[in-house]
Amino acid sequence: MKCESVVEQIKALAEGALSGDERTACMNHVAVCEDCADALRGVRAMLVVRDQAAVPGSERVFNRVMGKTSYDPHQEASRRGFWLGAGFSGAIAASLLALTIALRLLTSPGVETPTAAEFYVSSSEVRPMNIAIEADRPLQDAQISILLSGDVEVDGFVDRHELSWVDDLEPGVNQLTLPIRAVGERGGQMVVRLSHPDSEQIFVVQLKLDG
Amino acid sequence: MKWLGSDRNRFTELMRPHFDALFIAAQRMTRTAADAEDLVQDVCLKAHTHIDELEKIEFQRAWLLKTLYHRFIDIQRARERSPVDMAETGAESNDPDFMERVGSRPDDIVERDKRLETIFRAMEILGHEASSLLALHDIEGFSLQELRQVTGLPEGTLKSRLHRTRSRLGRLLSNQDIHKPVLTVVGGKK
Repeated sequence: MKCESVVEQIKALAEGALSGDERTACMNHVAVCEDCADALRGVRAMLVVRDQAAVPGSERVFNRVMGKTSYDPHQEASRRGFWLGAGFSGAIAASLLALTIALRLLTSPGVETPTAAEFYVSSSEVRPMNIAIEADRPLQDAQISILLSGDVEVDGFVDRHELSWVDDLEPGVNQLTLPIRAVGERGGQMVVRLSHPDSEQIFVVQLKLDG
Repeated sequence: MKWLGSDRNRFTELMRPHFDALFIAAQRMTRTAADAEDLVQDVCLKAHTHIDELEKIEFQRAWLLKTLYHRFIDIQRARERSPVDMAETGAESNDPDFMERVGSRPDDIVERDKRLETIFRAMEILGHEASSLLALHDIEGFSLQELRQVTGLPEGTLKSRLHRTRSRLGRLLSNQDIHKPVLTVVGGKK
């Protein structure tokens, strides 16, 4: 048997779906062909992944995901649908996808010391950066400002280095998702400022180029 | 929430037929329902930004699954160099409903996770394009003809690429170095 024949049958071989003679012929070839032996190991690895137990997404999961996917690239308002809404559960779990920053708007007046984080951006794709803003009570007319410097941009806002809007925060976690893209090789910096008559929070995110 | 009603319906209709396949594929990769949901959500965010383009694509599921694999590998890479231990976020699945449905025992999960981690590490080394092509064929069950329509490549080329990628994957998995961390992260810098 030649490699070409084994290539045709290797997935069936890994799945145990070949008849006795076919299986013997393939295995005899694999025993003396290092390349095909490696390929068989590779197929078996993919079948390990394939055979992971998994269940379909329930209607509840579907609705939850759809509810969180609110970014609207066509909306021309300054806010551009960045909010995913308050009271969203699992803000921390969402951090597995992107950076999650918890900004707690304080009840007492004052300015919090800026804190910092890192986020990796890519020029080949837009990456959503999640920011979780925790409010301990309803806050009307909170001002959110995004200041960008360096070779980065919020997707859809070419050459815009500052975005600012006023919005109401609901009690609990309000999630803001910003689609970030690298537009050069230097990376950049984002300053997120959340201000309210009661207090102000500033968060600095170093945007580093991936790779 | 600032959805435009018609736009939301349009996106929901677009995603609904593919959601189960995406969620199942995400679970295979992440091994937890919570992470799978986050991963699918990320794909949905990307899909939503490309809704006009996606509506015109004939093979939407392939586009979505490919995006899912790319995103998963990116996340794995980011986690490896993150100074934050994601295991402490509480995101590992303790969802009893999910665990009951998939029927895994804790010992099995540990062994399975080690094995899968090694495979995904190897897939990352293979690169996005090669690993996605292999995953679409060997995991998601796309035929060569379907892959030809998705990629525009002749079947002969696809066959040889798949074989080459499988061989590389097998070689990587037989190499003990794959079990070592690719990067040692100190202070969050690569």
